[in-house]
Amino acid sequence: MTRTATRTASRAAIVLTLVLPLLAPDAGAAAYPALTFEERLELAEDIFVGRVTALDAEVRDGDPWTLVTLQVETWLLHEGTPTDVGPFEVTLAFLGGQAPGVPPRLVAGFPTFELGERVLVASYGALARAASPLVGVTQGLWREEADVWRDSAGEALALDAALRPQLAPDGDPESIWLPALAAHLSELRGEP
Amino acid sequence: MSRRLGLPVLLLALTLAWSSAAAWELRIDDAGGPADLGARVNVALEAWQAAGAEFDEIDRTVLVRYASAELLGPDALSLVVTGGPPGVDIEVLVRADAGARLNDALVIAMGIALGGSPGAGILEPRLLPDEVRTPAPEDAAALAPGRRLPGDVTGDGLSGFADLLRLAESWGQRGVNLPADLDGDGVVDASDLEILREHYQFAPLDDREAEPEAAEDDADLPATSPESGSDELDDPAFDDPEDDPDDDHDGDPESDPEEGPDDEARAPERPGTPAA
Repeated sequence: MTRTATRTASRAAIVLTLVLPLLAPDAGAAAYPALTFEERLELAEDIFVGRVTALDAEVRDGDPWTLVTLQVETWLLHEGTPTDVGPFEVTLAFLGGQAPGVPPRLVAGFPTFELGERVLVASYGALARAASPLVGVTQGLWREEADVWRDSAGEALALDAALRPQLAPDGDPESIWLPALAAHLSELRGEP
Repeated sequence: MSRRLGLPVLLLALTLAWSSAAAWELRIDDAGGPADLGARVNVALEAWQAAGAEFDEIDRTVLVRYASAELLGPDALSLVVTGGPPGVDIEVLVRADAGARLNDALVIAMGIALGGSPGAGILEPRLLPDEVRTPAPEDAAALAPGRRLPGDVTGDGLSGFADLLRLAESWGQRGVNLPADLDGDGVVDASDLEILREHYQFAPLDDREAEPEAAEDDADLPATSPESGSDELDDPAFDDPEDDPDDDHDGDPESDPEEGPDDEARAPERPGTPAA
């Protein structure tokens, strides 16, 4: 290798080291009907706040699937998972990813997850076999960003003037919307 | 897998692929759903053509087929997936019972197949009630198919340090139509680095010896934090000695602020392990 090539390779290694922590954004793609916040709540079988504890992959019918395991912190709605002995974990399976023995595949617009991050999930339940178990493909996911929880479209969880949960450009802290959302879901489901 | 090619789409595919060195190939599999899938795809492609989208720079094979309702779940009208059966670069999975909404979903899917950046503008995935997606000229102009040379990440027609830099910046990214995803598998990883390595163009020895002294001084880079790394990389001292010492117009704004921003290629990144 020439001197220049050696130097270039050295610099490349440094650059790679610097940028490795930066990974992909969520990007919308595919196509699905827009769901209102209320529709998402009504369609969901499970709604919970959880923390990502494991990211795995498996092969199903020749395709890689990514398995996202979350430690449930707070159940807000619990109808879709097969057990209710908490605290426990929920694993969400998404079509795509990288798994041994098969070529990587990627579904444009599907969410990404980071170990340790906290999310609010509205899903169709752990038994769903859909490419995405989230309500509305990606619309049933909110991420915590600086104490504001936003969905993939950037809409944040907040309370309206009547103190009911809604989506708004500016969000409220979890300590505010979480109990309001729990109460609202109980009301929606006709619970006392 | 059965193949019943819709005649209109077959004709369109052949028309589009006829004289171009790049191979744009469209495959339609309408098994499992209405037989007008080819015609619908044709309508979507014609809409993009009418808006000014060009096909002759695109080198990819796209398969459009119906997927099971179980796989698509209750909500998805279509999914765009990298890879697929052998020889397929992008697979578009569509819902057989989507009805009229499938037309809009196909406009989005074909926009991505033509090189569009997922999620931007007309490619926004959420369809509002009664919304009709019709590509406008600015939407077509935003497509960035480009027939790039192997290893050319920046699109400047070369494979050099600017490309290595851009690839490094994009390392780990997952998505469709990522400039640094040289093998098109949806992930910027070692396989893309290998493609770049294979096509890396080193400057002739004479050019290197003629480089200014300043270019020699960056061999020992200062330790930098990740936060300061990009600033360091903007420093002219990081210019690659293989570049023309008088001009690093490599199309890469990262290495030449005067060349303007490239928002699409420099989208903010979210740390995380892609689910898909």
